[in-house]
Amino acid sequence: MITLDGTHGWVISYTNKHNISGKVVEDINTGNWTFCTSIKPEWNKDNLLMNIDGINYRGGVLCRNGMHSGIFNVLWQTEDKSKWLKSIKGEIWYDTPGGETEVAIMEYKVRNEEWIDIILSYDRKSSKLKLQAREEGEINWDIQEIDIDGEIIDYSGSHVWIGCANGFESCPEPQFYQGHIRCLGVFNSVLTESDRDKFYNEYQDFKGIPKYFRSNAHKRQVYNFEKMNPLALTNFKTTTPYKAFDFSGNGNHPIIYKREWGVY
Amino acid sequence: MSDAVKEKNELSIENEHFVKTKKKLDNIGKGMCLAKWTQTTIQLQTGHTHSCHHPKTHKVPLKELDRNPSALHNTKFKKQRRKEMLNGARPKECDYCWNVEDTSDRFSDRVFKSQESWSLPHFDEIANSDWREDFNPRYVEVAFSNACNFKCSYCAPAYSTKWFEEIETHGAYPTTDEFNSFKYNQLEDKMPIPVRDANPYKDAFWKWWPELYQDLHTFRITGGEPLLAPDTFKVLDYIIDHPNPNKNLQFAVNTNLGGPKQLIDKFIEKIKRIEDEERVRELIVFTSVESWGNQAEYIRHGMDFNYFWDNVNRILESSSKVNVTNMATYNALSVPNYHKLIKGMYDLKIKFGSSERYWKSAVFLDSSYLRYPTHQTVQVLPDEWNQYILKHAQLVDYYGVPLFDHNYIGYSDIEIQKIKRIYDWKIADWDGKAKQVKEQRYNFGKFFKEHDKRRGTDFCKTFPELADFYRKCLEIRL
Repeated sequence: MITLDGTHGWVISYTNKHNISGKVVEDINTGNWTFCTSIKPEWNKDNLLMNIDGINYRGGVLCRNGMHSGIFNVLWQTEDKSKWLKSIKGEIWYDTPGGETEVAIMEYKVRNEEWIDIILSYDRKSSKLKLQAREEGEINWDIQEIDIDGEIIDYSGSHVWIGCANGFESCPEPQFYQGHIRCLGVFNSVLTESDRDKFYNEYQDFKGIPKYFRSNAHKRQVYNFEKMNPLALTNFKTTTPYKAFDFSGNGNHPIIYKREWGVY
Repeated sequence: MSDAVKEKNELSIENEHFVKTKKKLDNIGKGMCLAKWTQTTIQLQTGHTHSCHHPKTHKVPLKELDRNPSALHNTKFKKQRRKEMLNGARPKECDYCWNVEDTSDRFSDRVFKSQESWSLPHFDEIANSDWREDFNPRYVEVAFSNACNFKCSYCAPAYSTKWFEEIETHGAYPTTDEFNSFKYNQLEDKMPIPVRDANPYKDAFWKWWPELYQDLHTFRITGGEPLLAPDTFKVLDYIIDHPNPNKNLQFAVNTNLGGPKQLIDKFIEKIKRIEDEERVRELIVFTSVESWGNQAEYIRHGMDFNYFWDNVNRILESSSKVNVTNMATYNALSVPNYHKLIKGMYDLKIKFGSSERYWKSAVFLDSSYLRYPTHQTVQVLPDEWNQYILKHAQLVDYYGVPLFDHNYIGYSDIEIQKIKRIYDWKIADWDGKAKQVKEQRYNFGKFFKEHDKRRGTDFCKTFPELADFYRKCLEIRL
């Protein structure tokens, strides 16, 4: 688990710096994809750094930069200021056949202040964006799906950001997330329900550096997600001070990214 | 090619410093290279030398040493090559560089080596010299003897007395190339002088040393196992006792850190003294291990892994500035357990890393792939192992220094890239590769079967991950 205080994020770079990635994050620009995570956001308005007009809050949970897309958590005051609304949003920008650029948004209204499992996936062939969420203690998933009427915009060169929408100093709306994140998965496919359940059943047990070679022991340690086309998986339990181990086997280790590091 | 040199090769040809150096060299001749003067490796146990590691070594004629001990470096043979260079010709023995220059737009190593801080400042002196003149090298590597308490599986009698004894007793290994047959030493006039015999090359070295020492930029003692050579301690004492030490010296000692405890203690005490009294610019201890635990012990026959690891820790604990570089010769037997070595080295980096050290990272993992003997290189392994080599690179990257925060201590880009190169080499294809690999696998089986028989080891027990592969190798018929 990582706890983010709104000052920095993590990132999985789309680039293949040392040319050592088994599969690179860029692959999701041309195919299907799924983002999985489990979060416990800070919902107390008094503890949050309000970043939308100084009165509301929006945190990037698992996002791509450019025209920000992905999973966000939002705390918004009703117009009559009588209460605060908590929600999880799945968003993506796309070009309509008419040449306009619009954003597709799905919203899950959060009821409690516990852990929330969230999946956002995109099926390129059927142009469907799907948001699934469930709160702690729930067995069933809330599932929403919309058709994207057009082509999603080109996200080439976008990193996968964790805990912000864009950690670069140059970004005017970084939308830093405040709260806890206990796992993430980035897949180069749309997960089926059984694959989804497999991920959420198993991610907590990822531990240590896989021992690939000790007779049959490695079979208990290497997480067999191959058919789900994983790009990166972690539960943030195996970390250095800067990096979380990617259990997908692709070497796409998420890394802390500090705003002052600038753009790369 | 050294890795530093390879890294530099990847730099743009537009790099102004290299362009400038190349022009300066080319103004004298297209074959000019300062390393022929400034750099030398001397194997005192065989009496061989070369300047730069690309040309083959040649024998130093004893006759030349009689009147001039610096002929350990300034041989007549080498002077003829210098003459060619000063006259605009390209010495044939340096064809490695000519191939690079003639087939690409990259700089060859002659540019990089001439650009080094131990070369370039001497450009004018060399350019204006007569080819007959002696020149004191600035970068010197010396092996005093082949005395060694190990017989690493990929090593040879010229560098290990243990290997020498084994070949003397049992003969060459029954591989198709008769691995470690003395005939190779005889062919190249490289039979090592027995440790207890008088060695005129060593005598010449000590005559030359007082003059050489003051001019040195880099001095590295190799072997054999240098701690078993009294000459190594003679060098350490010389530096300790010198009233006016060469404080610009970059000093390095190779050691397997598996020698008797009293020698290790003595070594630690002396390097600490050199460090404390600031008698050198930097002091690096080079050592070698390429796996973990009993697998490392199998590869480096004679090693007690825990004793070795304790000694690495002892050096780092007792010396606040010294760095340790592990020259890991990554080979087929490294693959199963290299991830443990990566983690072990990372733990040392974290524990001992400090900006007080000569280099901030206390230890470096310098992974180079074994090229010879061919039967033990990673090439012999089936393709299913390729991904594991890549995973080692990914693991080093995981423990790597973040791109933008070099205050953190972890693996550097070069340490990552060096393993990636092993993967690249493993997956590379070339004409005739399948046939070569078949023969190498045949030799793999032959070698380790004989190894177990001679040394009382058990390959399948030590490497259960490779046992099936090994058995298949034994079934190969050529």
